[in-house]
Amino acid sequence: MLNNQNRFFILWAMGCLILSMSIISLPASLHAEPAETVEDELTEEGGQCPLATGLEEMGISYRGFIEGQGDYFLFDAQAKTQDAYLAKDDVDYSGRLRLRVDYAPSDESTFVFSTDSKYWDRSVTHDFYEIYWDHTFNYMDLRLGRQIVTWGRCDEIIPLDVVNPQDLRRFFLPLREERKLPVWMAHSNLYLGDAVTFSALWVPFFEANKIADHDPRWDIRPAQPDSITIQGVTIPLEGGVNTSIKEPDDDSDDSLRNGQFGFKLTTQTDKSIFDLVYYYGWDQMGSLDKRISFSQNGVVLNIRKKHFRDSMAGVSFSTLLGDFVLRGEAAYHWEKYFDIIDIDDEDALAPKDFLDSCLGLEYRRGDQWYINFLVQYKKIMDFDSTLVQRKSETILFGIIDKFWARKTFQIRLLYYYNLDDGDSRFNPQLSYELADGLRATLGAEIITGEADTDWGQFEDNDLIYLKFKYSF
Amino acid sequence: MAKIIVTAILCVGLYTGLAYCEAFSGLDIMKRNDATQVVNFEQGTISMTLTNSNNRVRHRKVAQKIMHTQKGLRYRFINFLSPGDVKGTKLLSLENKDDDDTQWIFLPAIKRARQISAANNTDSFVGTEMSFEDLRREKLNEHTYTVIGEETIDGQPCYKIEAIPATPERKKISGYSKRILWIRKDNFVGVQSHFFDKKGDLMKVFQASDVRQLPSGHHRAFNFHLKNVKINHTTDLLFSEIVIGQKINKRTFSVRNLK
Repeated sequence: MLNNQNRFFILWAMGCLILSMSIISLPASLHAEPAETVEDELTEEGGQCPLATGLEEMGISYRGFIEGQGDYFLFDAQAKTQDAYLAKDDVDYSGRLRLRVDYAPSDESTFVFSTDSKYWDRSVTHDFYEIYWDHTFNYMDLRLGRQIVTWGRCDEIIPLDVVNPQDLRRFFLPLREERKLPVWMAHSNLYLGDAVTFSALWVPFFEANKIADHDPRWDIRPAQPDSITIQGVTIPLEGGVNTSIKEPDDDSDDSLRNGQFGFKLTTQTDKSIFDLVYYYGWDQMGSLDKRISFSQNGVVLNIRKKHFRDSMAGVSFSTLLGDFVLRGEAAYHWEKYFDIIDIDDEDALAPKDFLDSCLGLEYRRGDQWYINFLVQYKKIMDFDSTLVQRKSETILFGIIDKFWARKTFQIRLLYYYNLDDGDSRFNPQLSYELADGLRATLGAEIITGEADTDWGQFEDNDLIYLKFKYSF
Repeated sequence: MAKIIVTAILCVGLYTGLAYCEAFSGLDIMKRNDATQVVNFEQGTISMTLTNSNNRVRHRKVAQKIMHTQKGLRYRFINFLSPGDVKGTKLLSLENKDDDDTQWIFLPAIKRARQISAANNTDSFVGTEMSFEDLRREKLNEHTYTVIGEETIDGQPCYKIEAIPATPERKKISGYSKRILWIRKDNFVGVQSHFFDKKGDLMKVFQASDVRQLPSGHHRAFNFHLKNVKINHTTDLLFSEIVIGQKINKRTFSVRNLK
């Protein structure tokens, strides 16, 4: 039985085929300006693999990577929920294979097909990764298919990066580019002269962030309480707690009526670039709907993940200041849902406007240094004391990369610190290039903080890791 | 007798004067050398072999497209073809007349183009012994060029020219206190260079070979060898393909092409 996503894939493939055949027959004025050709002045070619040469001549190129990682946890796992694994090894192994093939029948058109295979939590999964068709017209680019789009100008902490969901099954440990998940999308850029670009995108289906399910190491569900507070009265949960995270909410199921769209206007000069953004989508992380019911044993707390619509407007910029690049962005969300302390007969959630902003400074010195420092400021507008969350938060984030010997050796220090909650993450790592494209990395994750903070909830997950990655 | 001697002396002097007038000045030679480099469109594929002092070898391969605007500004687009960890990375460098170059980089991992600060002149180009100063177009009005002799390199007569930064700004930003350049007499292609650091010590030696005339009439060297004599690192560049004159779409040199 075909679900909506498979139907869409087939329609998309047929559409691309028909569209590309139509474009070939379009009047020349609509195509990108062809280059004048003179006799090619090809000279002797260096020694190359005949197959590689043949693929290049056909417009086919490929790339990818294979990596394997072993994590050694320094402390025992603590299960927060009854249905989580109780037995968890102190060593975790994971692996990933990504393969991407590009087919460019012309300078204007490219088909991309990529797959992503993962070994994770003792199981292997195979997924389509990016599958899209990209075409360049005179004044417009169009990309249709499964893809990743990143809006915003900062690094790692990107308030405007709301289009694609993320794989958070190891929380925010992997870098953002490793966490993002492609989605089906139609994306176009319209070039209004050299300095102005208008972008539009449509995401027909909703896909939520992936979170750890039943894994005590990275489970982000709250610890199951043994009592709740209703209008100031503490009531024991003798009936227990029902937690439903995996089931999608009816309001955000896999149907076209839950589509998302966004617009971006970009202007640029030689030294600066500015963006205005509007996005109408879904809160991909979701909120925890809490309701009480009664059983023979007593009061039961039912926790269910729920997704709400998210309307966001934002600005971002990037500007050169000598050897530095200053970047910043701000996203304003209308009616984002936050937890309230007391559970009454509603869902224990309150809608509030929310501001998420950051400012960052980057310094890059050739092949030797890369330094990026960010300050993030988040604020709940019209805050009141019924909310569980803080009114505002300030977070410091930094990456320092130092390279030696033509990037053969690299030291990276990554640091995250929440000034209000006091939780932190420190990730030092050392990597060495064993051969062209083959790199070994040894690192550690050191996490501190109180159990009710973002990173502090994983304080027992301090680990050291060894990773090998071969890129081809 | 005296008249004959005086006449002879005058003739020799006249001949010498005429011969001197026909010789190029250092600046003349460099202008002709610059003219060989400035073409409307140029593209090629370059294989690089990087060898360190321990004889460890690394390979890089890039495809490069260059355009010179009507104002003589150089636009460069580089697509990294290998090794695998940089494959798909693209670098766009746009020369500005009175300011730093505008540079953008596309990293396939983050799937977006980012504006970066212009590389310092002394920064290494993708880990090679070439610096960004070596890649940028020679600023003829910021140097003093003096012909200091003639030598034969690989059987070809060459002018030997000393190039010294002439302006305070150039002295400050350049990584070299002096360069000695060997320019071929027949086609004004540079075939050898010695680079001296700020202390005046020999730092790098550059040699170009396999110079060919292309159908466009331009001459290009297909082999570069660059050695940093201080740290004993070498970079060898092999151009497997050079195309001059084939028009390149202007869109290639825009951020739009970084995807």
